[in-house]
Amino acid sequence: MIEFNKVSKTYNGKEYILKNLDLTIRDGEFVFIVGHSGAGKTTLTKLLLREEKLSSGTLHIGKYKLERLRNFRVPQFRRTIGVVFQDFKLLENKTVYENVAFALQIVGTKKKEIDERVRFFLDLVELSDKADSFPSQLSGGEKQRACLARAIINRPDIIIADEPTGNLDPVLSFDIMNLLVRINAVVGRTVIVVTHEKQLVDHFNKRVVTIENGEIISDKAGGYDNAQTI
Amino acid sequence: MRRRYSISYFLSTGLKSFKRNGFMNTSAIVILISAMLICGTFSLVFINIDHNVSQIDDYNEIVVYADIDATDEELEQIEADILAHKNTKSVTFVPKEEGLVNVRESFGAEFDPLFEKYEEDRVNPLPDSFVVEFESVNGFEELKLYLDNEVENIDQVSSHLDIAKRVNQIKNIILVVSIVLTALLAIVSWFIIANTIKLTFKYREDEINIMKYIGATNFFIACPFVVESCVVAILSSGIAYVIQYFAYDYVCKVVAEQYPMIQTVPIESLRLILAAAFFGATFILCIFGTIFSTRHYSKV
Repeated sequence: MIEFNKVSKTYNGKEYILKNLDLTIRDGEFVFIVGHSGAGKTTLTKLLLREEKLSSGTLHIGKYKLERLRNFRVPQFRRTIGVVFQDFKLLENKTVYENVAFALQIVGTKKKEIDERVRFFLDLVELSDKADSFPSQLSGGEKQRACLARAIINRPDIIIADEPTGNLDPVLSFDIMNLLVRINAVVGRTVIVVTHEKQLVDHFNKRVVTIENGEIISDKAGGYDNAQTI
Repeated sequence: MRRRYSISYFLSTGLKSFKRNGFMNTSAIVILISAMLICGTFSLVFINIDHNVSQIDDYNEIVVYADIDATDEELEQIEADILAHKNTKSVTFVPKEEGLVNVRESFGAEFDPLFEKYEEDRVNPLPDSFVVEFESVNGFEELKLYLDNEVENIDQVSSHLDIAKRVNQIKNIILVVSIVLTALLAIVSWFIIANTIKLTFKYREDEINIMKYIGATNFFIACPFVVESCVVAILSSGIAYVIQYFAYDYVCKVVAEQYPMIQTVPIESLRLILAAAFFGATFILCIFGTIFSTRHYSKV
């Protein structure tokens, strides 16, 4: 469960990036966060990752209370979240296999287990044949699938995808979104997709939270327009 | 179950990084070697001066020269007066003939013709003397004053302690200079190491950010950098130790041949201290340099 309670974020004490946000996302939900550029979507993602601290209010994610989470516990917390980035953030000097395995290495997983899990998740995202390729040898869609495999390999409770299709063409975008929907449906993980791509939001017909000027202006199931007009 | 981080990962990443930052690491190694050689040389000079001063200290004795024409009774009185002082431990009478033999021996064979002339003329320019061993160095000044002013028929009172005091002054100057130089070089080395690590961090900033996003701890992130620093520390202290060892050994041999009166401390008795000091100092510098430079990147 993710619970925003009167969450505000300000950088200088005057200008609010997020203002009195109240939002609850239940376990296993699939939620689109939409809004125009500068609406506060990125800040919201940063708060969810504890990249930024809240200025006021409370934010509870699972057992973690982010408003008073100590720095040394942040790595532990982040292991419960898988992140998919718009720019993929794959390590160029590592192969696809190594990039995905890296997420397990940092938590000290045994080599044999790493091998088994990496092979399984690469198969899930249909990248088994690209395991030994470097990111520079992959297409945009393949890079994003590798990024997705890395995000889910630690079996996180929540997957946050920040503009995951921003650098992809429409066909590849649908592929990636389908994968996220599948993971949500099959594994039951909470998936939060931050996007401004109307077509995708309309197509998948999920819960849509719209942010404008740092405030939630709508929270409804349905398409992009439907959410914004209500 | 608590899982263990892979040591092989830390080692391989640290070594790769060491290779990648070859130029900066070489600079750090060269600076560290220079710093250690300079500090090491000053320390060894200091140790040797101290050793020689201690040798002088060890004599703990004063030589009292009687008047050249002092009679046997007067000599007996001098001995009795010296023994009467509370700081006197023992008195040894050295007749003038024995004194001449001692001087002749100290000058060596090449001066024999000079001494033969003295023997032919049956003239001895030396007075009878007493070697006075005293109890405490603290009471030395008082004993010397007593001998100079209160005991009669004494021509001169001579002591190694005067020389020891002068050498001690030189020793103190060297100590101050070596402390200042060591401190300066340590600061320079510190900044070079810290900057090398900072550059490495900058180079790997993306990787570090990704590591943080997927939940890497600061320990996991910093470990390869510590490995890299340790490689710098091992190489620089090892090279510096080898250079210092052989250079010092060579200098000791040269000094022993050309200046036999100067006693040098053999390298065998210093090598452990030298190794510990070099390895210890570089490890402290490198590890604290790493911690210092990684603080900024430890923010979440």
